Amino acid sequence: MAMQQTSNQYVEIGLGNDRFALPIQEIHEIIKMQPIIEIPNTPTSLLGVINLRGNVIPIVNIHSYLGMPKVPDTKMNRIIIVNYEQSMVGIVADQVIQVTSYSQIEPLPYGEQHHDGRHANHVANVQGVLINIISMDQIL
Amino acid sequence: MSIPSHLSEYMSVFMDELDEQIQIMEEQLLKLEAQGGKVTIIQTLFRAAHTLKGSSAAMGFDALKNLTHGMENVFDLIRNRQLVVDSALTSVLFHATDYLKLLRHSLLEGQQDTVDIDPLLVLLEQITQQNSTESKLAYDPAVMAGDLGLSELVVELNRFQRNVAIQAMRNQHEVYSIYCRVRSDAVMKSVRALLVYQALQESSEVIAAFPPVTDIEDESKFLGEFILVVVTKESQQLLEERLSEISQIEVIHIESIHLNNLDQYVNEEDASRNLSSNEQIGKSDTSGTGDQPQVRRSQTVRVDVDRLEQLLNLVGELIIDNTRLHEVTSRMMQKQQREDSDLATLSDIANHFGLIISDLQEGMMKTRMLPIEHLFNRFPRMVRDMAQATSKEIEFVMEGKETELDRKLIEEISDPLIHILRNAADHGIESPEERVHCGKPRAGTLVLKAAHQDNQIMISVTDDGKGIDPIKVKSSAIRKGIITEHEAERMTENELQHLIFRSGLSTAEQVTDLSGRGVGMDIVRAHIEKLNGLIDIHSTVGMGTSITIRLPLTLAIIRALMVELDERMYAIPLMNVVEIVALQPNEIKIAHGREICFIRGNVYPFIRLDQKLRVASGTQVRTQARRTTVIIVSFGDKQVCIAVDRTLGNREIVMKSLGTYVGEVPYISGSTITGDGGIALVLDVHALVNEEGSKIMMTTSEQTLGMKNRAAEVTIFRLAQHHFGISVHDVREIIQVPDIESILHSSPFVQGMFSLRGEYLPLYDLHRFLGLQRHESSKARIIVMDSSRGTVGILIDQVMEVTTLDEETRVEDIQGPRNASSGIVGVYSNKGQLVTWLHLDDMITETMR
Repeated sequence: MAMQQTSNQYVEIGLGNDRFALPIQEIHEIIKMQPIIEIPNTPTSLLGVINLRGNVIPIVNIHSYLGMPKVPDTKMNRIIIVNYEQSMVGIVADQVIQVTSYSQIEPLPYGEQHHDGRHANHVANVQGVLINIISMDQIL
Repeated sequence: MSIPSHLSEYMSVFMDELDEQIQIMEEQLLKLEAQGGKVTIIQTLFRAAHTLKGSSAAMGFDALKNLTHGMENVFDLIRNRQLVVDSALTSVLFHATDYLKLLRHSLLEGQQDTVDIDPLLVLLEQITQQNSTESKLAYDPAVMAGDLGLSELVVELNRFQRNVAIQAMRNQHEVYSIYCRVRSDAVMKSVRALLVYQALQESSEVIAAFPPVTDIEDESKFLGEFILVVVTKESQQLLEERLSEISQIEVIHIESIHLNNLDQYVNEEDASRNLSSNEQIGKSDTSGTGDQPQVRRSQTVRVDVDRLEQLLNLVGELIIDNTRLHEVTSRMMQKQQREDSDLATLSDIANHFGLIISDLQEGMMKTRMLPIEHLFNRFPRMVRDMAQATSKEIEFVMEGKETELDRKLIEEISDPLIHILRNAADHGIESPEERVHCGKPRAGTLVLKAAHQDNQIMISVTDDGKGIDPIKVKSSAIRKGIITEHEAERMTENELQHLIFRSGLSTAEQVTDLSGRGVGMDIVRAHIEKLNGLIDIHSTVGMGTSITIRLPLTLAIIRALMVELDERMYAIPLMNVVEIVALQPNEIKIAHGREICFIRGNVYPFIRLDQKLRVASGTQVRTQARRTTVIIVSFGDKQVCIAVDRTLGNREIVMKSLGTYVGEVPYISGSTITGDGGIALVLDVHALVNEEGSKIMMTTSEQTLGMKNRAAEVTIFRLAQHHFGISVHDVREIIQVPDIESILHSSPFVQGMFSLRGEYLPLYDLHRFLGLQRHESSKARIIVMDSSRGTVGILIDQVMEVTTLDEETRVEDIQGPRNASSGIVGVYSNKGQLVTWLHLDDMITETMR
């Protein structure tokens, strides 16, 4: 599956109390928090847009996609710019933990059939702590 | 066979020429078909085929050469009145141009001879064989040359040429006499010769040619051999190598001319004749290849569109920086009280910079504009084919071909236009018999028209065919479940006709090759709307149909009025701004449940932008005795007033799309980067104005009229402090508020889902939509109703009563440009309370926008 090929490096981020990992090749860059311009009349899943060196980048409310409440902003917040289709989108991570690779990556037993499993069909097992591997293509 | 490298540089020139000549052929063939074998038409056709034959032979494209050769023969016969033009003949010729296009396409893909032209060649051959074999032979220069032996070519330099040669030798240049012979079976010998000529010119100067260049250029006079005298720095060997790369050249013989043998090459007596030939050489430098007079070709450079886009983006960046530069300079000017010469200089530079950038921008924009002709020229042929395929007679008229528009738009509207034209030809225009039967001329008229109309492009397709029958559309739509019978009853003819833009509807009784598969107009509409355009239809049964497309001149860089609302900056395209007015509170009135305003005696719909965009704003501030800043914007012939917090002046903005992820946002057409690096959203004036405008038609015409005839029973309910009513027919049941499960990624007006006897239904909350505050209350209920989106629930604050509303109780409305929004039937008085009668189905549809 897509997860297992090429680079096996992941950027591990914290969302709420959970840890998630994004394949490093999907990530364009990680920037500090900056003001997000809301767009009226859009679903709550869209936080707004930012200006990234002259490009208008939409910022996605990843929390709502993953069905978790948004935690208050802290200094640890980062915007992660990921490649999405032909362009880019940003997500706000509560914190960026590390760049790492995992020795043990397992597919979830229920795979994509499970209605919650849509978001993460693999998990990394780090000494009993499960880290969801997510891919923007699957989430958005 | 791959394209020889030395020819590849001619490739783009060749492709241009091919394009152009095919275009000419098609145009002329259409004329030929319509007007018969007029001399001028035939002459042009012959020339086009001939030119193509020559150049494709020179490029070594045999299939093209053979095909055009065959066509040329046919044209020649027509020219000599040995062949009569009939529809069978023109069909074959049209077919031939199709093959030319196929060949062109395969060449573009880097392949050759992948298209099998043999069947067509046989056809062409038959035509020529049947009529005459002589003329073909008589014309073919290859055959002619084959019969003739070598002529005796002699180099005879005149005195002037001799002096040039001597001068060159003194300057350490070499002078050669180069003899070349083109293979006797080669077609288009003169083109070969000119290739040699051009190859030589790259490194040398040709000082004399024998026979004269005019004769070499003339295919009928040129016999396949020639001598060129050149001055060069290159060695004999190098020249030989260079020339040997040119195909179909049989013999190359190079002699060196030096001071000792120079006199052998000079003919003093014949000086005057040779002098003229020398002049010819000079002139031929500019005329390029080709044995025929060059077809007028404006001096153009072909540029990759991507590269152009890139440049335009860069100009966009420049404009942003320029805006920032100006802001900084003016700030510095304010701070520095003293005269500072550096600052003055900086300001001068900034000003000049601004001027240059605006010129640059204008220039860039113009490079993107093309006359719509580029697109339109494809259509006559298409319409002709459609007419043939359906055995109809169609007179196709095109107007406004010179209208310029963005090249991107030209590409984008091609498919929708083809579709509309096809529909018109296939379904609109009747068969000649049918037309005669209806008392119409046999030939139907199809008019394609383009024009600029207040900052828009208007393209219309009008036919005088049978029109769209609303009854047929209605029954088809009901049968296919697109609308319910109940809905259909309430629709006007025009609304019914508009149903053809819904998906899955086709009234064609049978599917034909051309159209009628039930997909189409909805895609056309989606496409046009994606381009921020509008599509409209007017049709009268028996009289014809007119489809109008309006496209904005969506240009990437525009001037915009910047306004502030809720401490955010928004941009309104300046071309839509009529004026900015400060309104007194008493100039804003409420009529029909909506606000209107009076400006110099005119009534305008009044839109509070904060409510439209559902952002917080200084509304409270405005309700006090303060002036409200209002911007009158227009789109087409409709105008509305938009209330904002304040204006910030106008500036140049670069439109940036919000991207595919964000997609369409109501009332927002894009974004732009502001001078301070922030983002301002660009208002979609078109949507704002259009939303108000289209409603006039709907409410005043049919909907209210329909209501007039029947006093209806209405369920009255309360949302916040306002009373609303909906027809009891629409209400399925009213239930207590159950548990609501919120859903992600939904419309902001969908509260969530609730379960009704095991079925999950969406729950709409209209508070936000109507700009009302919602308070939790035990009296809250859900009205379950059937809508065009299935069964839905509407959250209301309290059910009041069921009563009868009729026109007697209707509150008189002021005849403003707008009197209700979509989904509002009217305002009625009921026991001292104003009740707004809603058409919830429309409103729900509206929330989905």
